[in-house]
Amino acid sequence: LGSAGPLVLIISNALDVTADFLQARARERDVCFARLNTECLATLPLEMRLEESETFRLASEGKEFSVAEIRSVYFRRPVPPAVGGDAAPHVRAWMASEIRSAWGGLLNTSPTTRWVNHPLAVSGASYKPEQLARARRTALRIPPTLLTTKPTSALEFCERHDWRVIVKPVAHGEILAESEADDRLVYTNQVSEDLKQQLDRVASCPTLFQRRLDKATDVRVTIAGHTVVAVELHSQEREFSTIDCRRENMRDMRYSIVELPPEIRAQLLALTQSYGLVFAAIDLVRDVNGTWWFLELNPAGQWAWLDERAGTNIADALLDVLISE
Amino acid sequence: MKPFLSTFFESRPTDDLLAACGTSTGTRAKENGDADYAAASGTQTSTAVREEADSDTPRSAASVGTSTMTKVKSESGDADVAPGMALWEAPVL
Repeated sequence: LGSAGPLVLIISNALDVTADFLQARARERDVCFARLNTECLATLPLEMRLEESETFRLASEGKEFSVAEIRSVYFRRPVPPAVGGDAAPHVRAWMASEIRSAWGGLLNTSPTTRWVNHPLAVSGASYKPEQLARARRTALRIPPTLLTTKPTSALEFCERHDWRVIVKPVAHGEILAESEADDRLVYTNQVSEDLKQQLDRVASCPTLFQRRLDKATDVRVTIAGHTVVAVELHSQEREFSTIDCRRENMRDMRYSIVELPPEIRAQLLALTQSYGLVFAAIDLVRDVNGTWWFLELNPAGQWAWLDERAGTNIADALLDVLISE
Repeated sequence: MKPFLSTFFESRPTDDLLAACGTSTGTRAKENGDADYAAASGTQTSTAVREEADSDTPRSAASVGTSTMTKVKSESGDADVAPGMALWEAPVL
């Protein structure tokens, strides 16, 4: 563990390179940190005693430390613990649940630990329809939106907006199959009038429509504590990224750091804090008239690529939050 | 009846980077997307991840003050992280 001071605990999975990126910076800044990959929890000792006194201890590589030593937790992308052995699958599933409950209970025992972000706050912030409603109450502008299972409503919405309408998943766009070759992705797409006859299909699954914005740029805003970093993605410079900037792996995307209007900055901070979040990655659009539109908030969104490609310094902003008193 | 969005389903590109912008949730995507993003970024960290991704040899389960990039073969490792209220189960947007 060393004597470098209170601990920053990074909770994620072994393949999370964004956590690796933060660790590299933490090492450069001589920040005492530990990395906990949750798929490995089944192999790690823990102990909690509530007797005459209270002790809560974790162990890592033969070194023990108390939960009270944890100053902050960067809760990023945990995955379920992997439980091996010869137990039946349903028993292993139960063991994984027990492990989650034990570790979750133990890590939550310190009232002074700062979470970035706390899992409950992440859960509360993870529903796009609710985000849109809340953003609007925060006075942020959102595109006219319809979430529906009614084909007639979908058709009416598309016609009212002259088929300048996009459609996107309510949560995420990955459809994982048994085999990776059969995986499917769905991006944000334009709904054209020739799909009119297909709109009956919304009856089978809630579908999210929005009026298409006349984008000037996509904007990614990263919030870490009170630090707000906004980066414009010049997605309209190439045809393939006009509707969904993620297409073709954001190939040759041009980035520029931008100053948000003070009222937008304040509204985004208020929205983030309303969920109890310390960190958020927020997607906005600046349209051709200079109006800023809120699309969604990602409580565990990626950011390291902006440090590398757009010249931001989100890693230091995050570390400042994690080590602050 | 198929969902309306199935009209727009696409195969995963071999160099998928959805994870780079924070909307990816699946472990499989994270393995592919982040590793490829990492390789593209050309950093020391990225290189390390690529090397680890190619290795089947588990290292330590967790570490203090050092990076732990263990390739884990697990039965539950590919499970998507569903929305929920329990610790470790928070969704990733």
